[in-house]
Amino acid sequence: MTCEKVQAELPFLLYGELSFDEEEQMEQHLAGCAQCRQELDSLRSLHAALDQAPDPVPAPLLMDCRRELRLRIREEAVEKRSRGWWQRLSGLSAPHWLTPAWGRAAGALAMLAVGFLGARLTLPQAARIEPTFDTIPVSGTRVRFVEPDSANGLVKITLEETRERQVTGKLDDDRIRQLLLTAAQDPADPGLRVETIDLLQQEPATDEVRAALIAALQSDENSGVRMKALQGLKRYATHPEVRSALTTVLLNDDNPGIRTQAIDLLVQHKQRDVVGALQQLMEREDNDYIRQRTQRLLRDLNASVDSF
Amino acid sequence: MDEAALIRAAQTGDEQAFEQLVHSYDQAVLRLAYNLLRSQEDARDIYQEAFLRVHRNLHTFRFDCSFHTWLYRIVTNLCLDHLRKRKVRKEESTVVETEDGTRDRVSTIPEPGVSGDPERYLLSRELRSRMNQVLEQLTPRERTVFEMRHHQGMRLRAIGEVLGTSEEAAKNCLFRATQKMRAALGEFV
Ligand SMILES: [Zn+2]
Repeated sequence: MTCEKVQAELPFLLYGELSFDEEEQMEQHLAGCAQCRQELDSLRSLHAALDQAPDPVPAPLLMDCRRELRLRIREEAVEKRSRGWWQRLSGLSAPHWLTPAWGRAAGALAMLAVGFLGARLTLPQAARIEPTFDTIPVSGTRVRFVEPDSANGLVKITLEETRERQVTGKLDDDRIRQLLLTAAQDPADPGLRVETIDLLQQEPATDEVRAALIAALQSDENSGVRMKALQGLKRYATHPEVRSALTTVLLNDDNPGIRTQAIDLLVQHKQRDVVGALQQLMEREDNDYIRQRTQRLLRDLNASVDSF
Repeated sequence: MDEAALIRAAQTGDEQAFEQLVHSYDQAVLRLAYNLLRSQEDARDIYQEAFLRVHRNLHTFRFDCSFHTWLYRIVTNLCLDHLRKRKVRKEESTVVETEDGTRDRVSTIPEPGVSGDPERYLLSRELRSRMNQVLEQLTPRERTVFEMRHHQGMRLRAIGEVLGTSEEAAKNCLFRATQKMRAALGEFV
């Protein structure tokens, strides 16, 4: 094999794309050719650099995507169904109130599709909104009976609304908060949990909200949810319970991003209550950045870096 | 349930099976789209469009290739279209894209929170920003092949199958991409 040929095949050697025989020939040549070995080394370091280069996909993005997909699939199904019966009925296209527009979510107002919760919750009476023709939610609405009245050109439709309902309210409304606190634990939907936790952190600071955030941080299986909860706990960072939760996370969470944020948050308020945990951490942490921060914090607190 | 059973169930309208099927591929798909397009918004669009198409057309899937290949055909077609359109837009635009402009876009990508020591961090940041520029210089196809081989760990033969071309062509594509990146990143590595 010539050097030229070998060098042209080097990338594929690294990718393991050569046949056994080709690889053999390459190895033989490389063993006796310093120049080609150097080429291989430089290609290896290119690969190492390329490995570092891509930005990680932001954690909440996947959840957002999954949730949106679920909504859109449901919308499509409903559209298909409603087009079906409406066209059969009158040859018209679906009226605008059957075009799904809900679910495009809210800003400062909390809008919840109660369908996610319906099975577990009954709404307080006052939060109910009487359906008018304009507010009929599309998803979850079933047409039970259709009675065309040819005499006056009207159609009477009997709808069965089984699942979804919208309630709108301010974040400081107690009933809204209760719904959010429940949704924050919805086991079926991490995307919903992320969004809810996001809203909860805009709530007025209360013990209840704090407890919910701590619970999510310590026990949610989804790291995106835990990350959000961590952000929400920033404003409680001096609270002893929160500090203790942050320490637990620091020692136990398997996600280095979350551990990093936890240490950053603890560092902001230099209190000695964390020394023991930090010393423990130094024994087991293998993330450079976290080790560095921990070491610095211990030094700032005049504590030994080793535990005894 | 194995994958074939899952697909068959999803084909008969079992939405839960469909979701399970999506969840076994969507992380990789999102990563591919995000790495290729370097934009959260665009990656999100590709995700939605790709899986909606899968949902609409799953009944036409006949098991004559792997589901992975079938799915990636859809995804890479969407990504390639997107990259090509973006390129045309850029060429048509009368405003010359300055280096600053490029850097601006790169800096909108959130920094990963974790990294080693500051020096290495800076280096990798600079490297990343340079990488983004280099990737802009690859053709959409070169970029796609590189992503699939390097970051998704797909075999060249599978990549060829996805792109509707030969293994040899995929190989050539990857070779050109490697050459370009070596030329551009030489000083960093
Ligand atoms: Zn040689």
